[in-house]
Amino acid sequence: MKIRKSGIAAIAGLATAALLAIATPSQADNPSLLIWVDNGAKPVVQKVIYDWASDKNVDITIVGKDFGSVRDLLKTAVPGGTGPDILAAAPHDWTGDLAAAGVLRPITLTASVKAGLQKNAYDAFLFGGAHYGVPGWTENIAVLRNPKFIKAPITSITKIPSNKLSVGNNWGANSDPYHFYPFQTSFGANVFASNASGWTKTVGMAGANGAAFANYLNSKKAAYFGGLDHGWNNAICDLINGKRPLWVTGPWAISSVEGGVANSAGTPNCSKGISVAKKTLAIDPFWKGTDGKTAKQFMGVRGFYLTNSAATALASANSLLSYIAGKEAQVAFFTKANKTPANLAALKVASANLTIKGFAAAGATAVPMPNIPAMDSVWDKWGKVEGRIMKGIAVGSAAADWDATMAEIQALVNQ
Amino acid sequence: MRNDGEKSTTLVKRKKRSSNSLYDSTTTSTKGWVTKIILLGIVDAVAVFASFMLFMQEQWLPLIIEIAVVALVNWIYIKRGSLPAKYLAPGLAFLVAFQISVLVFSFFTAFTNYSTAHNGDIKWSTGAILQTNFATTDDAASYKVSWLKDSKGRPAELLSLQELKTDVNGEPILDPDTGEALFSYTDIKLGVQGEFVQAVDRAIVTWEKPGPDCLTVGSDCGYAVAIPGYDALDVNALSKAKTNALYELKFWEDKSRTGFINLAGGLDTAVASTQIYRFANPGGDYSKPSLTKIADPTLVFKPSKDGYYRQDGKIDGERASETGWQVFVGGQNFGVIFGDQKLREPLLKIISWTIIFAVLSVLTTFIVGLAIALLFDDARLRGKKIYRSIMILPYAFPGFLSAYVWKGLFNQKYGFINTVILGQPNGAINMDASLNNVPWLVDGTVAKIAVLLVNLWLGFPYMFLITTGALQAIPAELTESATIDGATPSQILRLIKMPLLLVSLAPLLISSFAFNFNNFSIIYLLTGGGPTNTATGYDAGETDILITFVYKIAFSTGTGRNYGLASAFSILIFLVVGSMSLISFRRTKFLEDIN
Repeated sequence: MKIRKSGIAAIAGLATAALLAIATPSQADNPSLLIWVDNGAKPVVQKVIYDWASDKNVDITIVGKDFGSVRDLLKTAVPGGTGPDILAAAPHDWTGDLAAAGVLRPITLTASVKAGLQKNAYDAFLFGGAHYGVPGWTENIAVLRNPKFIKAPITSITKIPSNKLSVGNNWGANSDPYHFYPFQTSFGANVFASNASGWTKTVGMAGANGAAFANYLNSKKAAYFGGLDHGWNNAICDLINGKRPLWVTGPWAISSVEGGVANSAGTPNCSKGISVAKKTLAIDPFWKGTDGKTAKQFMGVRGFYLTNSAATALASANSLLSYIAGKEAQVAFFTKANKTPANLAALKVASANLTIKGFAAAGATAVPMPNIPAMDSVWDKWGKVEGRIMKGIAVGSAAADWDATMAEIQALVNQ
Repeated sequence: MRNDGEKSTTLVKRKKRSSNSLYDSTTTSTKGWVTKIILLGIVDAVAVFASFMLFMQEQWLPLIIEIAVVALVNWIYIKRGSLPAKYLAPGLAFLVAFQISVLVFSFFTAFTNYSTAHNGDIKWSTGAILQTNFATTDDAASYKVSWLKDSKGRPAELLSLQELKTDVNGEPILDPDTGEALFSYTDIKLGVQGEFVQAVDRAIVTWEKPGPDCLTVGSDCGYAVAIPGYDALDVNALSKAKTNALYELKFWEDKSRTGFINLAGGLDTAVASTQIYRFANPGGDYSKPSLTKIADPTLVFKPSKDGYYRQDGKIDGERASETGWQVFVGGQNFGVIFGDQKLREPLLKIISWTIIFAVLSVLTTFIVGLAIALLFDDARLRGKKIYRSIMILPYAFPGFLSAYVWKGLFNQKYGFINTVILGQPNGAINMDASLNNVPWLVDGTVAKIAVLLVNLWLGFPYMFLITTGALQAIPAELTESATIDGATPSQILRLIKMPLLLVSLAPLLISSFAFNFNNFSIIYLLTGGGPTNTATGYDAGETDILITFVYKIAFSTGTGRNYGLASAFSILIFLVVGSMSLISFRRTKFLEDIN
């Protein structure tokens, strides 16, 4: 019995040693980077990053993550030591939330790289005085126009013809403050006030400018917005057949407009699409606001964040981010997936595509959507009060309801 | 070697033992031993590896616990006898790992302020804050860097200042190929580790592209690459740790230690920045750390009770950074639950709805399930098997899918129920709440009814199954004799079948109640807790039950993540469900006594 036991102990010991040998990681000589990217953007950025890595002799691991959960994962993984070195192609409005959680490392770019970027896209990642991301590509809405029915771009908010305009699509019980933002900023009502180090927590929509916008919505609810609550296909069809030859929407709508949609009883003559290339579809910048104010739409920027992981090979990571900011990488994003580059020289190349050119020209007035965590608290009430005003069910006068709602939003933000 | 006589006696003993070895497994076959040793070997191998890792990370308490547990496991399985321990050990291990530890962790978290802005400990968070402890202005000077080392081997940066070329409007001119702005290299500076940055004469440096005009400022002959007295440093040949050390080097511009030059991009470019705070950490143990603003030394930021660097450490002082760290806040989270006026109203609504939802879900599913089971229990009914199979379908179909399908059916404008069953024109918007325009998931009260309806659909097959089983277990003689005694069918149901059914079904009804109390998936998938009523600042919806509300507090966008508060809620839910179950199980003993 004793002999047997010691023999078994020896086997167990061997097994232990073997397991230990398997489990001990081998050391690589090249610097390595772990990159997280959401599954939607992975095909866009993958090749650019791999090409850079083989050029610089850096080992790269790109892990695709679910878009909805990657932000939370990052917040727990980085302090736990299992986070990535770079979060790639993530929305810029996560900046404040992630920076407050302490999982980001600020980014410094040299003047020459910085000068090559669109300033509003670069500043989209500004939070608390530091820049946290390198912009990869941008997205903003514009005014689509069917030139067969309306010959020239609308130059002023006062000149929008009645019942000729769709805004966004299918916005249901709430309104859609995202698509209505250029209308609102036409009256000078910005969502938050801002200063040199970024956005502040002061809601900028209250006061006289906000009231002017509320009154505008109220006065035009029938003329512009009555019956706007129609679906995606209706908006496309109305643009094509001229029922509503103006549509406030984004680049995501272009392929559907060019392709056309099926005709039905309520929506005739829209199976044949109109296209930017054939000049049967125009992409216009937003109109001038009241008293020389600029209509500003939101800009969404996808950017590359450097995380606060202890084990990051900093030189390689920063070098990759500088490369992403450059022309070569951003032209690649454009050729791969028609993304609008944030790099000015790349944008020049991409402007050969008239759709990109049109939206980028419209985007000159765009402001990055505020990246502070407080932005999350704004949307719901904001959409509801717009919805109430346009349905004519405002509590009291339109301006009074607006003002009261803004006070509520400010209270939410201060919480 | 043993003699034959001994062998035979052992054999006899073995035979005797094997006759009553159910409770005493002192004898094991060779196969059993090998299996046992292999399994134990794997456990031990993993344990050795784990303890090695814990040792390297200097986690002493977990290391001791780990060794003790593994030693106990080995002792239990190598020791003869103690069969109950052998059976219980794995179960207990899993109980501790998956139940107790989670409970302990939640309990612990409930007394902290763990949330988005309080993500790590003070050391980690201070590290994160210090990384943002510099400012770079938009027009900050940029440099091209050449790495050198001095005679002592200290790393040095030879810096060539970039001057952007601008057009007549003052806008930078971009290189059409690279997209970067064009520039010329003007001033040359030298930063040596441990010394301040100094200006260098253009005449003594070696240029990357030597040319006759290199000595004129603004020439295009390239940047400085070498200087007498310093050797080149091949940074590409360095290990990751060494390049990271280079990366973290700050080359101070003067004694005030405010302005410095730090790397930007790769190792070959740098920018001038200024430090914002001076960090002090006497003793190095974060017992008295402080951040002093360099521009205004009267502003001192110290740790406050709520886990931020605040001015003078006062709880109402201004913050140095939005990033904080986890601290124990005592009963504050429970204070919010019980004391916050804004939370009280939605919370009371949610609690009452949770209870109504759980009770009604159990009642409706049980009644419908029982009714169908009684119907199908009738001996005269033909094709029972087919009916029963059909009745099981909602239960067999994945619940997650069902919830989504129902969500589509309930859509106010395009849903099947409104457009086809109630005949509303497809997609028409009708502001009047007319009959064919039922706001199924939009109106609070209607949404509650819709949730209950879907839960009934999902839940009745289960009740039908278990009641069918229980009904079949009731002996037919009982009902027959009752019939002979002149009892009506309703009397038979009320006085004979129901008490007998409840004895076996009561525990299942209680567990069904506990399940529905925390029935996260149906609410989350069907309504997401909505329609939302955010009048209070908390994202509390009309159909939110406690667990979905807790989920929103912990994970959803819109309110920020607050794991501490969510844990406090979880503990309360645990207490409510636990005590309700306990009381109900006590009650059911009364039923068993009848039997």
